[in-house]
Amino acid sequence: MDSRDNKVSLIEQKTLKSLILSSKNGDEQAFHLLYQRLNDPFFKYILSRTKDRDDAMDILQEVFIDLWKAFQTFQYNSDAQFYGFAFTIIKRKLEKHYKKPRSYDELDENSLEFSDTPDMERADDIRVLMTAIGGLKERDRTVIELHYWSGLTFGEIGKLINDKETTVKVRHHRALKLLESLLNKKEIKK
Amino acid sequence: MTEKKIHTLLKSIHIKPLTTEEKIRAWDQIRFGMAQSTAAATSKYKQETVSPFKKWAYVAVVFGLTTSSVFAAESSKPGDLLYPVDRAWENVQLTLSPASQQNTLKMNFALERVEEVREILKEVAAQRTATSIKKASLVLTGENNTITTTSISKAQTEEITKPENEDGVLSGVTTTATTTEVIGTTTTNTTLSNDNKKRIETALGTALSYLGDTKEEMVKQGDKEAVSYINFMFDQLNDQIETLPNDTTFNVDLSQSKKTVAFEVVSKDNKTTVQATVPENQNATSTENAKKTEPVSTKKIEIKDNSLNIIGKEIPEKPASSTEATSTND
Repeated sequence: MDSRDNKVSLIEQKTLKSLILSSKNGDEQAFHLLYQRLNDPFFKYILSRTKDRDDAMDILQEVFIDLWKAFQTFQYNSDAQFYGFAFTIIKRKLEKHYKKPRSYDELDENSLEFSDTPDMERADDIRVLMTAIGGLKERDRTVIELHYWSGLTFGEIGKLINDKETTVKVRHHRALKLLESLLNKKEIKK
Repeated sequence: MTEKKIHTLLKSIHIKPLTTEEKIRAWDQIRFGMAQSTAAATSKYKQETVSPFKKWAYVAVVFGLTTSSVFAAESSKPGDLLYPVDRAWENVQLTLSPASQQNTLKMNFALERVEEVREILKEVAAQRTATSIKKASLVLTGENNTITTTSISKAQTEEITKPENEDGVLSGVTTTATTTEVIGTTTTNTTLSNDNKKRIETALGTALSYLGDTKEEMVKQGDKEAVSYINFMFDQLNDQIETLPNDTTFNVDLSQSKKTVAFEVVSKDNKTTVQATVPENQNATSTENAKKTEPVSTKKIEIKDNSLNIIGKEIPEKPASSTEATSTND
């Protein structure tokens, strides 16, 4: 199953705007639709950071509760501004989470699924790759996670992290180059 | 490994999305958080948009009370003299609000019932903890780098610092100070007074009755989200029930209005929960059907050693001396 098949489009600006404005007016149904629309990309990104599914669910809930509360004062200007706003809440929650003691460094295998069953060699590549992603610069890593795990386009990622689409593409390319170099170094060591 | 291969590899890995069940569970929690936020806003709404005079007028007409009584009722809890006034004010709000907002208000009131239990348990716990401050002056005796304590405690408390031997001499201390002070605490009085026990029972009965009534109503309306919310309120209440003192039996009387709502006590994995069960055929509201499904007018719930059991399906006749704990709630 390709996660992009399930991906929630963030492009239908008109509908998103109306959902945000209705939610601002206390419409719980509209907020529920907003949750249905955004929970998938948000959750996947959060899980890629927390590594723990239960923690990711807790944070996702807190993010939406905070969004609901923040709507009382939030002034809508554009979808991009809203995404940036939501992403700020996510980052704040994650920062708080990082302060807690943790005992896991890698994503639980039960939280991953693959397009096809990987053989031993590919499974090893995946494990090394996942570790290497953790060594990327924060913003580059975010681009990789949002693009591949949350299934967002470069344009959508740009809105979330307040970068131009072209800048996001550059970050993506640079991250792949770095991963290539990191993985090749490890292969040589083998 | 080439850049292209990395790209392909990355595209083949997916993080499992939330399952439908997880999404529902998460949304339940979010709704609860939203309700708390809305409840705070509603409270503000009461103060800002309804003038004190109007509020007094509505309630005083019914109860013939003074303005200060009505204000005092706002913070009252089950068992308090003015609690019926608070509940009456809720009914006034329901009557005056448009039909589209009534369920939202009822959800807020359900949250208030759970909060009332939480507050009462908190108050009772605070009363049971007799906190005293023990002040001791520590005097350096010099020779063996030991410190003796002179207690000027006002209450019988536990020892304030450790290690300390039986003579009250702190050993192994190498301070160079000549005097210092230590503030210590406390000990716990584990006795639960009859008054507090009664308060807990009344609050539990009030909350269970309200949640049961409201759940039944929402089931009849077919409002699944509201039912899910009420179930979540039950979960919150169950969390409180788990904090009840052990070795004490609580007799929780449910309101007499229960005709079709049954309360089940479920024990699983060493965890006990109380849930309301509403018969599926809610459209059949005939007396006959009500009789068939009626399991409850009063049930006795026993909480002992963290286990919760219903004693008897139904208590047919109440002892003359027994007080109906929830008689003021309907």
